[in-house]
Amino acid sequence: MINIRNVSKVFDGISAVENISMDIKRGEIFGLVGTNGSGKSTLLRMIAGVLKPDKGEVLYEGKPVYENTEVKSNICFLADTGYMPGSATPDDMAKTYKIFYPDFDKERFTDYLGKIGLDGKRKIRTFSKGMKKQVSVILGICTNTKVLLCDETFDGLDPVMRQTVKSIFATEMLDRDFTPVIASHNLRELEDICDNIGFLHKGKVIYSSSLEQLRLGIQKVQCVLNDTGKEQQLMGRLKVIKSKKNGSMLTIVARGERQEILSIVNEYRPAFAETMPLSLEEIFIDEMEVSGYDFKDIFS
Amino acid sequence: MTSKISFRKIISEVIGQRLWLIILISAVAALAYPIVLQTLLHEGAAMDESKEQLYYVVTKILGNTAGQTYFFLCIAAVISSASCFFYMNSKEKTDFYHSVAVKRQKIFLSRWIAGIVIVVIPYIAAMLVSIFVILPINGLLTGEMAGELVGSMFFFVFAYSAVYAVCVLAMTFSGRILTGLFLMAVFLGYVPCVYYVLRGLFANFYPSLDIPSFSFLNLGWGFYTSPLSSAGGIAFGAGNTIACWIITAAFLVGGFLAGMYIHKVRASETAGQSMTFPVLKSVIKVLVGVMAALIAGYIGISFHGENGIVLFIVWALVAAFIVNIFVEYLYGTDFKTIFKKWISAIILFGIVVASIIIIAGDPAGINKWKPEINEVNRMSFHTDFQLGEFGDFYCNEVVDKKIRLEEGLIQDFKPIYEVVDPELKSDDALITTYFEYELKNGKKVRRNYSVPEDRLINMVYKLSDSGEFREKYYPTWTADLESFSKAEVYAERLGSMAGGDKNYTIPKNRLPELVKAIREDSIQVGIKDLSKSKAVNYINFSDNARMMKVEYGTLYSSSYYGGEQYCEVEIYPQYEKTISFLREVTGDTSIGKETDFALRAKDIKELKLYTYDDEIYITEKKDIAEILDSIKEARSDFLEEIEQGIEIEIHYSDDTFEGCGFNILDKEKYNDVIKKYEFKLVAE
Repeated sequence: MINIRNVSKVFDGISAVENISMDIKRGEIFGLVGTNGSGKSTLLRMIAGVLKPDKGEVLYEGKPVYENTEVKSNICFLADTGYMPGSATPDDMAKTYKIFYPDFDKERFTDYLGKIGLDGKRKIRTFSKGMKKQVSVILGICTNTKVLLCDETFDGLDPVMRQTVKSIFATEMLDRDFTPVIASHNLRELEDICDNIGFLHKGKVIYSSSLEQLRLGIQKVQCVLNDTGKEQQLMGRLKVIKSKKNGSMLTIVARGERQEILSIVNEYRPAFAETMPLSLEEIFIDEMEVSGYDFKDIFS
Repeated sequence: MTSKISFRKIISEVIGQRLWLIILISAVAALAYPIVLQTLLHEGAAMDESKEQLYYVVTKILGNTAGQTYFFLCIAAVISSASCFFYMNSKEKTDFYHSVAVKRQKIFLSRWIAGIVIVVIPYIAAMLVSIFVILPINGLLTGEMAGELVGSMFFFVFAYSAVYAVCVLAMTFSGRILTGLFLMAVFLGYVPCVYYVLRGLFANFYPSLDIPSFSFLNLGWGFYTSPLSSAGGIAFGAGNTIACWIITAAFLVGGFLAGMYIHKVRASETAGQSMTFPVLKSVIKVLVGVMAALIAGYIGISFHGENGIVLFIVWALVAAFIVNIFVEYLYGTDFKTIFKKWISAIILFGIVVASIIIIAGDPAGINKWKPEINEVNRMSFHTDFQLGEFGDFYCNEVVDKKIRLEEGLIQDFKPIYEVVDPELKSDDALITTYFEYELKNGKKVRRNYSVPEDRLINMVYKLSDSGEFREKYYPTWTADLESFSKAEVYAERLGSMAGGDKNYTIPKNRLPELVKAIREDSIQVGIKDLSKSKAVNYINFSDNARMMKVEYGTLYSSSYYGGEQYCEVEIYPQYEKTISFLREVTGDTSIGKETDFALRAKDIKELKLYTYDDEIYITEKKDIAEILDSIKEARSDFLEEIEQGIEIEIHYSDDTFEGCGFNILDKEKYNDVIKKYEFKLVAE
């Protein structure tokens, strides 16, 4: 659906995005993860057609996005600090969106607004940051565009609202052709919503794939063998990414299927052995450390 | 998505967000036009002012010379353009408007139109109410007036649009409102400002180039480089009106197209940055810095004249320093960044120093340039010096100097060439004289230099031997005798106590013959010879149609007098054709004959002797007789420059007097009188 091909963007001599390529498929929720300044906002703005790539191209259904009104009519971009005049009310914003997104669903907007308990006639300047984000997301959803680009949209939402928005996304995806792309610097907020994920660091993509694949391919095992020789043998047989010994407890992060790894561990008759769940953040940190990135610094 | 985005709705959205501006402009327009007009007309009617006076009030408020309208619309153009295109300065708004499915040209067009509508609709509404409601109420509306005022209204809409287009263009080059306003000032005023400052500086430091300072007579091309001045030119009748119309229209169209193009190609990420194109930051800083330095230097020179060169340099450098700080702060909004941009600062100071050297130092020696004599093919000259009764060498500095220089080129130019001394500095005792060189390579070069008076007279006398010179320059009184429509002949009053007031008016239809005769006669005899003769009559030419036209066009001539441009032409005995013509027309055969010199000596009560700065009264009969004995008839009362003398005013017993400088003392007795009465003479 959206193909990003060797895209680069430089601001004032600083490379914001460098030779990025990735694909976003129709009907999936794509998470774009990265620290501040990693280039995710820049990438989203290029996908939205706000910025013109210095190199490469962003295609929607094979057509370039920049200054292509036919293509852009399928995309709605919600910037991190969205356009919300302080003197306007949510209803005023709905009117503005209706001008630029003629398929904007005003009724649904009013409905959603009521469900989350926001007054459509209240001045936006009296709203909290989180409330503004809620209005922004609802405006974006109600544009009925096929692609919704959300830049840091979830970052200001409380857990309840986050779940509400997630459920709205799920409903929309069931009802129509809808592909949300969500950029965030917080992995935890995306791991239970995204199907695919792209990780940006210093303007480059260092990982882009499905979350499921990522989760299944890495296991964390804790075991007690009480024999240094056995421990060495075990480590030699596993595709170890990282290991740590704390007293007699050996913790191994290794690549492979859960059952396969457990059966190998059990061959050495451990006094104790179990697999532990890995958070998306841990997986990333471990994976990327292998790739040579010092993620402890990044996430600290 | 299948639905189409409505262009009309986009414009409505832009206007709708600026209701405050519409209300503000409507209030100002209502106050400035219908309310003020009704108040003034009401007051005028209460004071029984004539209809003409009330019409004058109407045109001053609603007509195209209404300065307040011009000012109001220029301010409105700045505010409206800044407001409608402010979105480009906001990252949030840019993200929104550039992400929607609308072409950037369409966004530009919608905002451009909105900016026009926001100002023009309230203005037109206020004007229409004034014309079609207020004027009829006061019984002042006529069809002609309505047409004229509606025409003025459309002119101001046109002028506003041109200024607005340039303001919008300035906004497209900026990513922040402050720099946007700064660029508007630069775009609207930079070139005229630099042009006139440079003109003033070169006029001061390169006087030989004869560059006029700012003058409505000579606006120069710089006047046509801003919609502010070109539209003002149309409104107030300055400059070439047709050129002003064309140029204002060009600013409107050019500003619109350039603005649309820049709006299209400008990167969205420049929102919030000082300039759309970073390279412009240094360029604009240097340009503005140089301009500020030149203006400051010019002000320094204006205070202290040519000798204020030190002040010129100091002020220029200080101004460049201040502008460097100001502009960098404007760009960076941080004092820490000010001194980091040292490369552009060095370029700025480098150009300022180079400008100072070029302007004040004349390294190429342009001001003192004089070609070698073998490089010159022909030369001409012009001066406003009055050579006695031979009149001015010019009539109008705008028209006749040009004619004299361009049409007076002669081959026998050696006397002219010799008088040129570029080393002489301008001084009160020197006379500014204009020269035109036609070089052998075909190039024409005009210069003016200061020439001592005696050398100038000597040059004219030398030249008067040349038939070619006489053909080109004679009669010396004026270049355009043909332009006068009235001529009166007087007996020469000099040295004569009789006649003087007797005069004849030459019929208008015979003036061309008179002028022809004067020309033919004057060419026959040189000034040198005439200066030894005594004039017998003089002709007072007046009603110079060309000069009067110039006068009403706000040009002033130094010889402007009593509403008529006049010129006195002395008639000498050698002017046979002229005298013959005058005798034939007037029937007075005394014309051309010398009038007897006579005094009513017996009635003389006292003599008043005076020079430029001293006067004494002689009352003793013996002294009066002695002085009257020494009186020698003057050839001309204009010959103080040539013939040293003391003017004498004769006061009679019946309290009448006469004089007017008709008496010049015999040179032999002159010194005795000076000594005896202890005259202080400036001439000495």
